[in-house]
Order: sequence, then C-alpha cells, then structure tokens
Amino acid sequence: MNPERSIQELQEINAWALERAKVMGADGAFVSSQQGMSSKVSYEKQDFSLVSSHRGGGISITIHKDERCGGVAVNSFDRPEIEKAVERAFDLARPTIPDPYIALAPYADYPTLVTPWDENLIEMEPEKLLKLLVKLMDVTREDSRLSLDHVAVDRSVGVRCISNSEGMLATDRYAQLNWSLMGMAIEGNEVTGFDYLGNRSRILNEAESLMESSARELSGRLLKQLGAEPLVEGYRGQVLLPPTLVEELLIDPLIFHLQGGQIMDGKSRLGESLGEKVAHENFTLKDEPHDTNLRGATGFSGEGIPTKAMVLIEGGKLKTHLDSLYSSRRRGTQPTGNGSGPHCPCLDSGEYSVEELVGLAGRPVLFPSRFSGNLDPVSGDFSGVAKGASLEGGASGSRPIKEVMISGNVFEILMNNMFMGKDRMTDGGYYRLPHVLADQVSVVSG
Amino acid sequence: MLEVLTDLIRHQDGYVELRYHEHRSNGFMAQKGRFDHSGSSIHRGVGIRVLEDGCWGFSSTSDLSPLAIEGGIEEARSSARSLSKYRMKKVKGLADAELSTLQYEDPAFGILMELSIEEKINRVIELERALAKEHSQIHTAMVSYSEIFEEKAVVTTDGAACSRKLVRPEIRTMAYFGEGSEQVLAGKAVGVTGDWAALFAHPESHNMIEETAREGLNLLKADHAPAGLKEVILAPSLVGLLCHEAIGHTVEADFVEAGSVAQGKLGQRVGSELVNLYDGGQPEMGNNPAGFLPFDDEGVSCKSSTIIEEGVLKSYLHDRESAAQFGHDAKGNSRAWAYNDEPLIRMTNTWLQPGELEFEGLLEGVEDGLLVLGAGGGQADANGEFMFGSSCAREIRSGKLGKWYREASLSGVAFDVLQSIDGVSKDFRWDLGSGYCGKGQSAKVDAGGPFARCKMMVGGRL
Repeated sequence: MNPERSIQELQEINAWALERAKVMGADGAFVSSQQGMSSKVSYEKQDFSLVSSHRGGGISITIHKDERCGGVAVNSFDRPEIEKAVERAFDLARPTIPDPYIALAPYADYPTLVTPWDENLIEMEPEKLLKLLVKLMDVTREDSRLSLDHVAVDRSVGVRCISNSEGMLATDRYAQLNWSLMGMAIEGNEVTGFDYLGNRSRILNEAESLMESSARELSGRLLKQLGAEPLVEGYRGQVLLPPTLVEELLIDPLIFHLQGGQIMDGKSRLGESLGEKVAHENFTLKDEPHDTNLRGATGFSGEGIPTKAMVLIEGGKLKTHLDSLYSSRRRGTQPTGNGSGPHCPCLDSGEYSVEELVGLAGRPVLFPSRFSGNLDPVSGDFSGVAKGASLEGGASGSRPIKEVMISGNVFEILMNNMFMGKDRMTDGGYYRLPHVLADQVSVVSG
Repeated sequence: MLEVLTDLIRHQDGYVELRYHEHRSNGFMAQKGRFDHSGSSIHRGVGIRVLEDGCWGFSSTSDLSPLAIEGGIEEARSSARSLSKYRMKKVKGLADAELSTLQYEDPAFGILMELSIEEKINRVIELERALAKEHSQIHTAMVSYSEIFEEKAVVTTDGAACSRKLVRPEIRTMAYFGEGSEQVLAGKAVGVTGDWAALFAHPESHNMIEETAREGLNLLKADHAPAGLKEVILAPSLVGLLCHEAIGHTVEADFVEAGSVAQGKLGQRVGSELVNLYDGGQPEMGNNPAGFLPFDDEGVSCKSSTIIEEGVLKSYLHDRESAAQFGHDAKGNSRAWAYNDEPLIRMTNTWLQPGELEFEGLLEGVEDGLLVLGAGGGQADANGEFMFGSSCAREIRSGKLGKWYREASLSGVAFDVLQSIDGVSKDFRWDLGSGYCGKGQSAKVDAGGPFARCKMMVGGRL
C-alpha cells in the first residue's frame, strides 16, 4: 500500500461522487472514503488460534436537496455502485422533513499535525506479528495462575479523505499496532473475574516494551484479585477512581451535557450554565486535539471543521459548550469541531500520589478497577458492579474485595470534594486523566 | 453467489469454508419534530477460512471475482501455515454435523425489501408525532427504526452448500420527561426476524406509545430502588438477560476451555428443578425471535441445545472444532457478524422454559420484594458473577404491587441465582430482540422466557 497514491485515489473518487451528486440535482453533498489493510494474530483457548488478514475500503455519500438529506455507505469503489449509492441517497432524503439548519462545512485550512508514521508497519508480515504475540505471551506465562482467554495483536494501516461540494477537503493516514489481553487468575477452586487491557503504538520498535508493560500490568491486576473476600460493611462516601473509571463515570456523562445537540433538545442540564460552577474547584477539563500522542488527535472534525485546543471547564466553572455545524446553526453559536464530543479529553492533575489520595480518605476506601453497570446520562444516576476492586488503607493495608455494587449520581460527585492524583495516564491512548478521589458514592456490601 | 462459491471450492483440498455475506441496513430516526437520520449501508464480501496443518487461517475480500476469492484462499492458507509453527495443540478434526444444503428465503425479506422507503419514513414520523403529543411533560420524543437484510451463502469442502435471506427489523421509542436535573428517560424497543406484521404483533409493540408515556410518568415520581439482597420477580426480558449473560456465555465452549465456572460441571446440579434452559437457532418456543437461523456460518443446520434440564447442566455450546474436542454434537452456534469477521461460538436464541404458575401466583409468594422490568445492559464474568440493569422496578409487599422505583441494577453469581429460582410462570415471550451481543464482534441474538422468582442483589442507594 502506498499511502500517498491511496490518498490521491480517494480524492479522485470523492470528486467523482460529488460531481455525480451535482449532476443528479443535489444542492450539496458530503463524501467520506477510506481504504486500508489489516492483519491480526490471536491466542485463544490456551493456544495460538488464528492468523487473519483483510483489505478493504468504502465510501459514504450524503446528499442535500431541498433542506433534506440522506446518506448511503458502500464498501466498494466501483463507479456503478457509487452511482447507485448516490441515487439511493436521494430516495432516502426525499420523504424526510425539511430542515433549514442542515449545512455543509466551508473550505478551511487545517492545522498540520506531525503524527508518528512508521513505514515498517505498512508491509509487516503476519510472521512478525506472531513473534510479537509470542513475546507478549511469554510474560504472562511467568506465573501459572494466569489464564488468558484472548490475546490479540493487530496491525492496521489506512488512509481517509473527506470532502464536500463547498470545497472542503481533508485527508488523514494512520499506521499502528494494537494489542489487547483478556484473562483471569485461577488458583485451586478460586477463579477471579475477567480483566482486560489494551494499548497501541505507532512505532514498531517501541511496541515491544509497551506490550511487555501491558502484560505485566494485567498480570499484576489479576493476581491481586486472588483471595478476594466479600465487603463486610457498606458505606456512602469516598471511592478512589482509576483513570478508566474517571472517564466512564465522570467525563463521559459530563460531556453529554456539554454538547450543543443535547442542549438544543432540552436534554442537557448545563445549557444555561456558562460561567457557572458545575464541578469542584480542582476540576479542570480540556480538549487537546493536537496532542499526537493520543488516539483522537486530528486537525479536522468528521464534518470538516478545523479543531483547536479548548478549556471546557476551568476550576470547576463551565467555559464552553461543544457544537457541531448543525447544533451551532440551530443555537446561533460557532461550531467548535466537536460534533461527537472532545477528541482528546484531558483532566488537569493534582498534587497527590495514589498512596496520598488513599491517606486523604481517612478510612479504608474502595478502589475498583472496572465498572459494569448502567449510567443514565440524563439524570447522571449510575449503579452497577465494581470489579477487580480492593479496599485500600486502614490497618489492613490493601485487601482484594469480591464484586460489590456501587451507585451514585455523577453531578453530586462532581460538585462535592474531589482530589486529583499527580500522575496522568493515557490507558490505550484515548485520554490523559489522573486518579480521582471522589465522594458521595454508595458502596453496598452483601 | 452459491453457484460461484460451489464452483470455486470444487478444486480445493483440505477444509476450506467460503462465506458470501451481504449486509444491507437501513436506519431512520425522527426526534423533536425533525428528521435526524435517514441512512443506508451495503457491505458485501467473502470470508474465507481454511484449516491447514491443523491451524486456522482467515482472509476476506470485498472483490467478488473468482480470481480475488482464489487469491484470498491462498492468503488464508499461507496464514495457516505461518501459525502452524507456533500452535501447540493442532486441530485434529471437525465434528461431523448435519451440514445444510438448504436454500432458505424468508418471505419477509421480499416483503420488507418491496415496502417503500417513503412508507418506512412516514411510519417513523407518525410515531414520533404521536409520542410527542402523548403527554405534556414529554419535552423530547424520539422514534427510530432499523432493518438489516442479510444474505448469506456458505460452502465447505466437506459438503455444506446453503444460502439464506433473512430480515431483522427493530423499532425503538424514547421519551424525555421533566426538565433540568429532574429529567427521566423512558423507552421501549422491539426486534424480530420477519416483516412488519411480526414486528408489530410483538406484545411490546402493542400500545408502545402509551406504554412509553406511562413508564416515564411513573419514573418521574419514583424513588431509587432500595439496596440489598432481595426476593425479585424478573420480567421475561430480564429472564432473557439472565439466560444470556449469566448462563449462556459461561457455557460457550471457548469460555469453558478458558476456565469459565461451567468447566467440569456437566451432569452437576446448577439450578433448582424448575430450571430448564435452552439455546437454538430455530427454537420451538414463541414466534419470530431476532436470532433465528436455519444454519450457522460453518453451514451446520441449527438445532436446539438443552443447556440445563431440571437444574442439571447438560451441555455446552459448540462450533465444529470444540464439538470434536469435547465429543459433543455441533448444533449451529458458529457465527460471524460481517464477511470480514471469522466465525466464533455464539448464542442464537436462549430461553428459560415456562412453568405452571400464573403471574399472580408468583406475586403471592413475596412478602417484601421487587418486580423488575425493562432490561438494560448486562455483563457476565468467567466466574459466573454477573450484573445487569433495568430501567424500572415495582415494590412488592405482601403479594401486592406497590410503588415504582427507577434504575435498579441486579447482580449475583449465576448458578447461585438459578438455585434460588422457586417459581416460574406459564407465560412466554422473546424480549431481547432489539439488542446485540458483543464478543469482539456483534451478533443478533434473542432471549426470553416466563416471569421467574429468585433472589438477587439489588444495587440501589444507601
């Protein structure tokens, strides 16, 4: 695969599709196309199980006609297929309700991001992937109590191109190695719950040590769960949230309420809260879309709006909402290039180590590794099971705890005392978040 | 494509499996008086799996030409040969199974394909308008409709040569009540295999608008469910979740081999005598389950598996490889979501067999408990610990239904909960047809059963 040539091909296909839409009578059109290849090796059922490979691509076309729109995606670049897709997009648009706020992004210059790009990943043979998988497995075989249900290493390389009839054109390319591990620890009759971990690297030479770190971290987490006991007494109070749960229980539901689309539909409780306190003063949330160490880094949004770094909440005060082109027109604001939320959410760190955060709690505090449950983004209510948890602090130090139910309300937690850890983690490259000692969580024994 | 694949495979040695898959989906959504989404996607291609040197190789291509498919076969063979240097336990063979030569076309496929886009979009608009008008406290109504037209042809070198055309429509309502921090969300969702007659005949579709509004109004006044170990009556959707999440996953043979809690428990008591639990692509119970399949992606004819009989664990769920390894029968549980996905062991339709009691009879036995309604998401662990959510619940006091509660999450250990089942109603309903199962790739499944009474942890507020 030659990325430059592939991007050129996509630009030509997009231009052709836009032209067909115009000829067929569209007022405007948006086209997104991508092509790539991937190969994957996996380990399942205690053995190396499969080598697979895939090449493919596709195009999606959205046409605008008389303030209506319809979209069709096909996994083919055949011109007759694309022509049929454009025709069908008209069929899909015709019966819908006219909406004067539908629009296309104007031409824009995008910031140039210097994203790591390793040519070695482009023509990587499955044999090399298998060797990496063997090394990953070797780490987890160091302790016979570990049982891995699924381990996979995959390499994906691809390019994408978006363009529209207003002259907007943006292209992007990616080449990366991803890996994931899922397993449990078994000792005698005791079986821990599943846990999993994944990460990625854009540089082949850096992958090996990162993979080893992933394997060691998961092994440590699983072995720590052996000997878990039920929680004797429930409480309502503080829990120590790792970055994965900070994202799941605090950031994601909060983002729902910052989005212009939810505000215009009356679903957000923060629609009228610009400048107001919406979280504890230690809480400063940013979007850093040009941080190329994070997965979501991009110079343009999915609809072609240039991205920019933004402070969303500063010292607990709401600084901005997030708007797509559509929601901005509807609300009379400017699009921020965040139709589906922040690209790279980052929460400012605090001054405490994890041990110090435990010490701040003043009593043994639940430290879950994962959450399996339901969260209603509208009300902010959540309840479910804290998995891979331990009780930290007090006379007993650190003790693994069997599954316990936790519940609470995201907004109550945000407005109460919270303390941030000093080290931020990227967990798979999706964000940059610290540990957070949060309050007002019900922890149910039983 | 069946003929093309049959012709191509004729010249192949060893085990080769070719699967043509066209996945055509349409989706429409109206919200707050506007039309938010009108989209369609068509993905088609051939998935190629070979067993060579005791190892699997897989490749896929969206190019349907014989040349490209032959190239894919060579690529899969090369992948299998690479793997053979590393794999410790070679695949010794695949279980004999009833390999299908069926050419199945559900009449619903043609009926829904012929139904105009205009008619589908108009139905969505009408329902959204009706829901918005249903109550003054609804500030945002949303209705979405989707349909997946699935065409498959599976051909194997050892005799499967089958094709099928199925369609799976789904409809969903959602209504936001109240304002600011005092909002609640209520909704209903139904999914089937079949046409609109099947979709709108489903009990959950009846009065869908009125029931969505009624649930929302009740939730506006509702408290959070009380926490602790409770006697609960699970509605059929929750029974379905229990069957699928808590039991079904632990008996998938790949999970069993990895050390799930069901490992080594065949023939042992894992539930009360009232527990009879099954999975099957062509189930004997109910109508139009969303996971209906005449044959799986290895071309094996689908039959029902008795997982638990009168509380005793009887069987696991298999593909042909694991069936050979365990010495069991393969009954059609090998499934792939898209052409470029390799087949995995998956459930199809999983259910608890109904019992003898009327619903009122179940209620009578409860002094202080909960009736749990409206299944939310769920997850289960290898050790049998599971959690699932429900949108709402009702208090039961001295055998009578009382006030409403919102947002109850349930957890337990699968086989402990099955042991605690002490009452099963005579009703039956498939009620998980609008959901998807995730296991690295999606699968359309269904699950259901009667109302069932048992003990579980309820995660409410302290």
